[in-house]
Amino acid sequence: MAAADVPMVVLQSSDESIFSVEQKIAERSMLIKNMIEDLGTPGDEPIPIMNVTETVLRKVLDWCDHHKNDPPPTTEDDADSRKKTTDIEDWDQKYMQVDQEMLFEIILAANYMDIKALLDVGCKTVANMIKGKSPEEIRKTFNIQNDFTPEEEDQIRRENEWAEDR
Amino acid sequence: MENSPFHQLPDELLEAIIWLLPPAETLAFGATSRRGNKIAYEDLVWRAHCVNGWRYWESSHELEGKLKQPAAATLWRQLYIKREHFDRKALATFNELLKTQQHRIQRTEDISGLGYDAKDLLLSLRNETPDDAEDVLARRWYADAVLGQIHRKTALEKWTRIHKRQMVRLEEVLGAYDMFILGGNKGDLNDIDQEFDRLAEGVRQEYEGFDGMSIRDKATRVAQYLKMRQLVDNKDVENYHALRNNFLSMALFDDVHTSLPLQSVAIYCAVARRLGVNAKPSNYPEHVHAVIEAPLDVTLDGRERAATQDQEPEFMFMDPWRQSEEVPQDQLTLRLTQMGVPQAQHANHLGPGSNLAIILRAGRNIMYSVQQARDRQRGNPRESSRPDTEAAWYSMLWSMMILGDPDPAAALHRRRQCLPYIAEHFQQHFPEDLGFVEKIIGPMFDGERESHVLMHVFTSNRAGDRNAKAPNRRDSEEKQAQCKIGHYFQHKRFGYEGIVVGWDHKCTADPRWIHQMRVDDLPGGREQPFYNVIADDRSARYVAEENIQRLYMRPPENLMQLAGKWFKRWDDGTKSFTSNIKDEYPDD
Repeated sequence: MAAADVPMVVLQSSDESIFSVEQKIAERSMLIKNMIEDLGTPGDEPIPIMNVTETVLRKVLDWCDHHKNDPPPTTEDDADSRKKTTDIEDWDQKYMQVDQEMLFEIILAANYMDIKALLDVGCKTVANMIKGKSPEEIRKTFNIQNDFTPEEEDQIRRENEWAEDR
Repeated sequence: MENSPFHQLPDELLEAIIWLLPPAETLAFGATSRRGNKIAYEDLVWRAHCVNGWRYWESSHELEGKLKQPAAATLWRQLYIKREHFDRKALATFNELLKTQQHRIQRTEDISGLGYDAKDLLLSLRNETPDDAEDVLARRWYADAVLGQIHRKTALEKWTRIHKRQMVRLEEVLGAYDMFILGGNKGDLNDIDQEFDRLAEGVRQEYEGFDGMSIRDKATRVAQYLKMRQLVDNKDVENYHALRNNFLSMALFDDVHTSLPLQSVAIYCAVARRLGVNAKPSNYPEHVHAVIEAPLDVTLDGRERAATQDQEPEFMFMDPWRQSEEVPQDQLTLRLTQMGVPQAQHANHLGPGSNLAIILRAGRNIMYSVQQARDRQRGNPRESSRPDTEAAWYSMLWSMMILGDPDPAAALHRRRQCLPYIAEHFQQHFPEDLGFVEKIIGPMFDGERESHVLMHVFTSNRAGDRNAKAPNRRDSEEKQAQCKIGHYFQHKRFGYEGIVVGWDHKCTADPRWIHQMRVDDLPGGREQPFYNVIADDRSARYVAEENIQRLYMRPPENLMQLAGKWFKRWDDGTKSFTSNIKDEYPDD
């Protein structure tokens, strides 16, 4: 697929699968980019991605491939990410149509591999799943155990009364 | 959380997700489990919700101080909930207020009682109600009315303070006039203060070593700086008395920064004082100057001198509106002599004016400008009216009323003269301000001959607000009015345009008016239907049916705005306004 003179790198998942990818794609991950900068071009030596399994790494690399020509993030984007815009572009939305387990794996992998934009999309996807839900609905969606004592729960309900009458 | 996917996430990632949630869901998430609670209830999260949620805060919250402290020092979540609660309460009251004329004053007061805590909500109702909302005109009109009351309350408080000889800064009492004409624009007292701070900082940046300069150098640099930005100027000599020139906020924030010399000097003094230059507006006749006073122990040029008890500090004069250079005292004295001012009064005219004197002077300027503006608008009612002439006039009346005179007898005399004007003006244009009139003007005439008339005004207005309106039905035997509430028309003889806001089967005005207006000379006489109308010059009039020529096109923008007081919207189907006074005219 890639032309012969395009620099490639080799990645190895935690379950020891080998991926050969364009360096540009792999460098969407700041973890990989920094490693290459620090240690020099690795040649055929595989770079270990210790915490990420084959299925998840494949999925993450799909994202990196699609976004390989995105401009690098600016510091302004950084500040903006704190604002509560949970808009997600169409391709990313489709990309994130995965089961919950995979969604959280992607978030963890993006965090570990330091791919900020992907981490953002992952967090936004989860935030959108929470939006509009009551505490009980959130618990059900994410299988969260209610570990409050009845007294604590009562107190929280009283404090938050304003939010419930809508 | 063991079985939940969240269990795998470290706190920082859970936090990152929570930062993306709107407030309601943040609370909901915090109610799911202990871990969720710990993170969702973080002070920083709620501080951000507070800051992003509202731009304006009542000063009692001391928000700026709270923002400087560590987040944990403030109960941000509780504060958020409190503000959210205010918004909901205010919105519910506002929706009730729109529905019926009954209790409208009371409800306006209930919302404006929240002060700046209601401002964000009112601004969004005023500016962001969509054009196709069912009651768009009413919603915008009353949001503007309540917001205006909040602004006026601040102004009246400032003037009351100065009347009681309490500390207030010139820019506050002068900016109080701006609070009457502000509407949804930038330029309240906070904005004005911040702008002066910004300008003062700008001067420091512009001139290296500014803080080490002599008073004289500083005084001219400040004038130069403001002149360069055209903040103290008026190139447009023909419009010298334009109403807009009377307002600090318009001089500071509008694209065209023109102002009268008084406002220019006030701007100059506010900036200079922030930079350690003791500048005040002078008492000089006709054209206000700035008087700059050196400290007792230093000359204007920065030389030290022995400070003794009987020694006068050094003075200098500036006229920032005209020029950036110092004005020699000789020149000012000469002009005083030419004006025929006796020698003995020179010192007074050259010296600094009290804040009270300056605001009263500003009030007189506004009076003059409004009269001019009214003359102009008579020829062209559709001319843009920012600043609003009625609101400007109202500000002047209130300042005359409150500030009065140090001498109680003179004050009473002035107030007595002013009373009929303010009484009429408030009832016609700002009936929602009844509470201000009761609280502030009432006590001024305690035990005076006006007091029982005032009492009557208060009780009848309150009763009028409390009681439901008596319905005017169309089922009577009498001649039916052809026009309905909400019809848009042109006066056949005088040509002005207006909207029907009330009708009578026949003329019910008092005999003197009927005689004066020569109603009986009309072909239809006094037995034809008569209409209460709001005209495009904002006046309320009473018109005979034979003079009404109904119009069917969409009315111009100024009438659309005015219509909000009585109507929900313009209906392109019926070619008339949709009534919001059904309680009074149920069949229209």
